[in-house]
Amino acid sequence: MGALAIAAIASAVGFLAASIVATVGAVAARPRLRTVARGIGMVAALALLPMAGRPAARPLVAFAVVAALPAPQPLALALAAGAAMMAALAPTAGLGSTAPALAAVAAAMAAHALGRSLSAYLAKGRDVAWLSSAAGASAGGFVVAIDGGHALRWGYRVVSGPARIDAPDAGLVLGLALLASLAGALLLAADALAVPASASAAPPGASPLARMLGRRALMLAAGLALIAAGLVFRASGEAFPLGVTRDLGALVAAAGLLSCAVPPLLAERASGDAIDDEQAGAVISRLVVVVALTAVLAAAVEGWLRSGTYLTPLTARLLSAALVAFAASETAQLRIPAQVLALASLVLGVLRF
Amino acid sequence: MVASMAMVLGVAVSPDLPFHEWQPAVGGVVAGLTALFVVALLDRRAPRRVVAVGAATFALAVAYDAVRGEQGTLTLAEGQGSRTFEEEGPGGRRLGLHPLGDAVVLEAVEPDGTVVLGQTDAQRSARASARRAAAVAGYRLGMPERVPTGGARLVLRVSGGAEGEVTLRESEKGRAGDLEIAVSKYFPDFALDERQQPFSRSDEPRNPAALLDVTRGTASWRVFVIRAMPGIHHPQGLDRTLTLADVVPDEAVRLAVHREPAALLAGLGLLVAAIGVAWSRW
Repeated sequence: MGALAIAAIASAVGFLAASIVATVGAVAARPRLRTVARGIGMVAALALLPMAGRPAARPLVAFAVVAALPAPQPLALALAAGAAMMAALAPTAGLGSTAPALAAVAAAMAAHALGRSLSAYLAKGRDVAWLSSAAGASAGGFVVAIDGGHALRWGYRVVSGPARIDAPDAGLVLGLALLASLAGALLLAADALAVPASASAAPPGASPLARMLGRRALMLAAGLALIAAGLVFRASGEAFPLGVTRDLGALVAAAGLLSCAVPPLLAERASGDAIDDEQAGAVISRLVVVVALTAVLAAAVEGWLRSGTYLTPLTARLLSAALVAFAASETAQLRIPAQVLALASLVLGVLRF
Repeated sequence: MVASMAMVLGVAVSPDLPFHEWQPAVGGVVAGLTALFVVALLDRRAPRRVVAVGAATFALAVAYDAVRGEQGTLTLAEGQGSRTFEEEGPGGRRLGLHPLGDAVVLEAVEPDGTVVLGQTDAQRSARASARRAAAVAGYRLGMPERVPTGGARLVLRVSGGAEGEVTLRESEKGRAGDLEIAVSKYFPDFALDERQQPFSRSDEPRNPAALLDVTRGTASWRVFVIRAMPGIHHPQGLDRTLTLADVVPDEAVRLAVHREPAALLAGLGLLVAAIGVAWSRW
């Protein structure tokens, strides 16, 4: 492994740290911590910049840099950690393309928009358990998605061409991470659901024990996801096929999401400016659509020049993401679910290139 | 309403959710929904109308290319030419041969996979590779890919007396040593069916074998050769051993062929839509 890849892995660790510090800074209303998080994020992004020389890593670097630039947004920084991990292991050769890099920029901005909408949601005094539960469920989804759901059978395989290497230790830890994240998600959701609507002004949660167990389950899942990432990394040896690279990125992003889900559960009161966050979220959502449409245009031009047709799968995928992002920018009631879909479709567009 | 329609359209056009494969009528639903989406956007303030114009232009361009555009594949061996390509409809359905604007000849295949294509009437050449398509005979040809044709050159060796070697294709005849050899039948992937009759499982030379007609003077034999088991068949009266020493498969290059007259309009529509969204009140 070269020095560039080691720097990129260090960058992933930096993004993880920045996301946790940014979360604590946001929930504790300590601007100084947010400044520290911004600094860590900037340094991590700088460490990743040399990887931009690799065509396959370019969209991932673009994602991480845009995630770190405007403001220390925990969600964007957590996903940037996964992107940095993938960039570290990206192949040196490959076909350079502008469209996925633009889509990655749009995806990072979509993560910022979603982060601002979530901040507005919390600033209104809503129960944070729902968001933490969603983070746990998302992390569980990431663990299920890797290696075609082999974690459900307590297994993990490194598949490289015809070779298949079983990594039972990674499979065991992945299974435990899945159980812990789902347990945390279910406990927190059940606790939030048990509170009657009329008791919204009361201290959050029906059962402090359930909330504590849910929080600790999420912390356990975050640690297990990181350990699983280490075991998968070790099982891969020197070669990192695309599937393993994606799995490692997903595990690091899952660890980041879970880490960001815990501090808000410890906050004593809501913080932030709901109106300011909502307005910023709306503006960024509109920007996401503009950049996504530019990515569609770039994909169409590249497809026409390379394959002879502008109607390539990448064009269709990015067009679909741009339409979903447009829907997210147009709605106020279901903005958060629409923004989640827009982010997911843009990330999918980048990863499936 | 606009957001719901955009969301449904976004899900419907995603290639990761193959609604078109499940239900062909989805194409019509998408077209109708696109029209409604454009109308809903038009019924707004000015910047939205710019988005509507862009969306309508893009949708019309895609619809025009879906109806009047052409796509398919052209498979050529080196030195071979063609005035037609295999046209494909939606979902890769084969529509038969469609004429090209000119005869296209595959002049050369470079080691990196780049192909040099010649146009007979225009007297000019163009290069197509995985990185760049070429405009040839009124179409865009790209994504060259090597494919086996199913044919091959068989290297046959004679030993055990007058030794010799000959390279033949199926139904060709040649001389090796004192034997006259003709390839009667070639099986790229030899296997026996339930009635013990030989057949080929695929066009890939995974288990090549051949049935040969061998003559010497007035005597003749039918000899079976298989690369996996050299010299397995010794017909009575033939004092030579025949082996299938090697198989050199014939390769051709398959190119994707596209003609999309409204491509520029589609790009313009996307650009106008992006400007419209950017122009909206922030």
